[in-house]
Amino acid sequence: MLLLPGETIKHTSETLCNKEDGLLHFTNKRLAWCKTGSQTPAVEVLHDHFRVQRVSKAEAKKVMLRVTAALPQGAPGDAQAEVTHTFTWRLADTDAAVADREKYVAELSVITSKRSQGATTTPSSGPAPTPGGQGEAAAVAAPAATAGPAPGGSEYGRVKVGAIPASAEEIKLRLDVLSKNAELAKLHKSLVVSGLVPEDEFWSTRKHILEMQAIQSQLRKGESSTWLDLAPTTQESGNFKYTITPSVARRIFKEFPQVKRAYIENVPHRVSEKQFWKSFVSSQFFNRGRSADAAKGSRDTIFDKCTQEEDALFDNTARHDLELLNNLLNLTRTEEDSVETGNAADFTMRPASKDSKLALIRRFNRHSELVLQSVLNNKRKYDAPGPSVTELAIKEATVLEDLDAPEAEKRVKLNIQDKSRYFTSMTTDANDNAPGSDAPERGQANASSVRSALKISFDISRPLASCGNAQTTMASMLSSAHRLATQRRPNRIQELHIPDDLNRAVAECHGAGTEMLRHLWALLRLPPTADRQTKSAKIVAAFDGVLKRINETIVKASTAESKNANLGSTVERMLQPITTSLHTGKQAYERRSLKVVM
Amino acid sequence: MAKGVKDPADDDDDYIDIDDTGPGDLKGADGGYAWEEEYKRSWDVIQEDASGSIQSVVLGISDQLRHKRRVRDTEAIQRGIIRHVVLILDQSESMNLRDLMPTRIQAALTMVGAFIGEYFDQNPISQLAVIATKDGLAEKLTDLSGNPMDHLGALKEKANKDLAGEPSLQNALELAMHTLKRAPTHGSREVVCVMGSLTTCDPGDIAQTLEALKLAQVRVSMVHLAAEVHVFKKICKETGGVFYVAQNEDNMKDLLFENVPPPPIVSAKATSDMIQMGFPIKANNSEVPTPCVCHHELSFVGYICPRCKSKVCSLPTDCDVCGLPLVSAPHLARSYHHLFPEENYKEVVGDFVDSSCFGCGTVWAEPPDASEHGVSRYRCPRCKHEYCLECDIFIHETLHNCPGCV
Repeated sequence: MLLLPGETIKHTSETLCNKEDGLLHFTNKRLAWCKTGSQTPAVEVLHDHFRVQRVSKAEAKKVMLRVTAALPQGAPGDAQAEVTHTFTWRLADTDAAVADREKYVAELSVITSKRSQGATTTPSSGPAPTPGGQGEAAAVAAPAATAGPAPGGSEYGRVKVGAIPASAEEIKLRLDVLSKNAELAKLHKSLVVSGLVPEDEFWSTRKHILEMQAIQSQLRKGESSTWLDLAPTTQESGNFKYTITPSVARRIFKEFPQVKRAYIENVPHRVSEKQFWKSFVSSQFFNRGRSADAAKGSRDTIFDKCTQEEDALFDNTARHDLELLNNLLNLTRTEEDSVETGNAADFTMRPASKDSKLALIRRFNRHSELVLQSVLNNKRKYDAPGPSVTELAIKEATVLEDLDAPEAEKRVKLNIQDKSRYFTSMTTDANDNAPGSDAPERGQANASSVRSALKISFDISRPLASCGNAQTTMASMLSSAHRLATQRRPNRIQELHIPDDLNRAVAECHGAGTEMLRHLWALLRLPPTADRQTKSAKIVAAFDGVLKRINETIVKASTAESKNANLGSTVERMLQPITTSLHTGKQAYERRSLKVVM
Repeated sequence: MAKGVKDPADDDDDYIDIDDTGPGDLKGADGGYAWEEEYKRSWDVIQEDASGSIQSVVLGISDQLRHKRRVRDTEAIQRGIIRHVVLILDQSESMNLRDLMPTRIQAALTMVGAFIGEYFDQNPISQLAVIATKDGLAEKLTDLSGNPMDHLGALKEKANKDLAGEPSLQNALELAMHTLKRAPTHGSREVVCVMGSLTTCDPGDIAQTLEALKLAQVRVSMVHLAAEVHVFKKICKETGGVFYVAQNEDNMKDLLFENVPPPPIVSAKATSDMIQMGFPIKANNSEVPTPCVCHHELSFVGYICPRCKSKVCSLPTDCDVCGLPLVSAPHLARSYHHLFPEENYKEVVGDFVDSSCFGCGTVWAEPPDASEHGVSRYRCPRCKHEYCLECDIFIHETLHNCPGCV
């Protein structure tokens, strides 16, 4: 195929297009398909024009890739100006064909994610999901580089939050966070889906939320170390019902390795799984430890072997090398004491004089061994400890902390330069009338003057009219109550009669401005580098766009029809804070750049 | 190595010194340990008085309990005032037991609700997060925030859902550590747990989590509702926290509330000298509503951040736009009380000055006969006024200032 200047081919495959044989090429500039024998591509999709890709279902006989692109002369997003091409792989081996197709899918999804429009990367708002829509393709393709789910069992184990372009796992993570957090979802909808703020930027200041979610989903559940008690449930007919789920089966295998061996040998060729478990619960092996009467349960070929194995294991007493055991735990140590003092040897330390309890004891010991092993693993090796270490161990074991006097905690004394200042400030404030009147007038009179106005003398021998300042008191109380009530009346906002579209416009301006300010301040707070300066410059330049929008809204408001005559000035005042914040942000940036330049 | 127990190697080899005189404070009145004395019959204390009622005895007992609570530490030491606390709640099956009425989980939730209210009262510039653990996993219920309503709401909705499985302390602590990593270093990092289960089902080695906690300087405290568990106690002790076992509902409340005053700073690590905080002024748009940056909703009142001039709804909070912590002066003043604690009042017998309690004005009741003490009075060492027990407790726990001195 003839290449454009500067073009390199990345992938090539034999495919069918419109029932004609040909070669499909993926290059760094376009996706092109040439008929066999032809040098110029019959079908060509530039990266910029590429819109949507679809793949055929996994079980479909034909392995297909369908690409939708915009026509060069049509406006992007114009439905009629889109064209669709379908490529079919003709390899006999479907797996190889699928693997081949996946290469293209991966490349195309990288393109879509590079484009930081929210519409194409969020599958939820995408076009009607065809079999294997965009989302699936992206999810399948991207982790080709990362090896499967992390051992923690979560798909977010390897995600590096904040990578640009966002990996497919991060996209899934974002969706997760949005589904769990309603407020954030609302914000996301109003800012990103409407196109005000690019998706990547939205998430760049909220990385911590994504990281939290990733970590939370990475938590794994540990293995339960409780005593497995397979208790039957009694049904009406008097039969017992044992429920054995795969997790229960796993635990049984851990407790009884002989059962595991028997399972591997016998299932599924000799007995079915159901039969295996049935015979297990009715066998003597299982019921041995559970009831006092050792003869309960039926004999079974498989499980009798287990019983014999276990007995053989424990009869072999030369298993452990007793020298290596910690002296504090070694039960045979008592034999030493008895020899010197002349007492008879200890005959009580023999496991289970009655056979019925033996199985239970063994099971219990095995269970404890398993629990400890899971924690210690291979940390504590059985090295022979030196004499000093043993001394230390003995001392540690005999000294009980609870019996010692509690140690006083180390505390750092508080160094305060002039302690009295704290106390003097308390008394002076009580006396002087707080200079609250300097601050913007709040309509609240000074405390003492109010109190003096409220003085009423309740001498009922005089007519009410001459009882001090009753009327002025009532008037002042009523007026303040009235004022408070009017301030708190419901539906105050509706009374302003702001039309819906203006409301939305105000919300949009505010939202966009706030997001940009967040970015700017996040950058300003960090020490300045060239990179951050350029980013801040970009953001400040974008402010002008928002300010223009604000002005437009105000103009629209003044000319709009509404019951509220002062709509223009109302909207202007509503947008006042965001305008002020934008100006403040700009000033801060300018001050910072002056500092850097100097 | 323990102090107070004589090293056996020092003594003569022939004689083993059985040392019964252990550390002094653990001995009872007769010089023996608590378990060596005869058992006390607590029901003998309650006796009917002349009219046949036991009310006075009951009052006396509750008074005694309050006496014990009175004595508190008043040394001026460094404490972490800006606190970041993560509360870990156990939602496992063991919380369904009914040894605390009506069930452990209900009692715990009530206490935790009260604790949250009290915590934000006494530490207004601090933040709290809530994590719940059940079925071997941990889930974050709320993020670090300074608004008590968030947490109380989350507790009401989510924490009452089904209890299942076993808790996982390791997962909960890992999640808590990640939450606390975001907290600035000038604040203290703490974890307070309320657990009812005697087991924990962890995916890995909890000793490693303990090392990580010590490295991150996180202080873990726990109130357990059943019994002492070695692992939990070890974690609490090694990170510098406290471990308690609650005996009944009141005891649980008291122990949980021990975590309300800020804990002392143990290590003299290099803490920051200056912390940037903003003191916003009230936004006064009485006529026109403006949107706020925290909820993007229109409102008439709010506070303007001094750095970026954006409007926030309530204090104390962190500005959503520029991240500056915003507080008002009363909030700081409330936090300072812990640094200047009010001294303990001494009980006075005889030598009375006032005829009524200076705090509430109730006249002192005359004791029925001369040998008995009347209602106990407490005297402030500075202004020498006398207060009754109620006022004493109120002054020390809520007011933090003596009305006579001010």
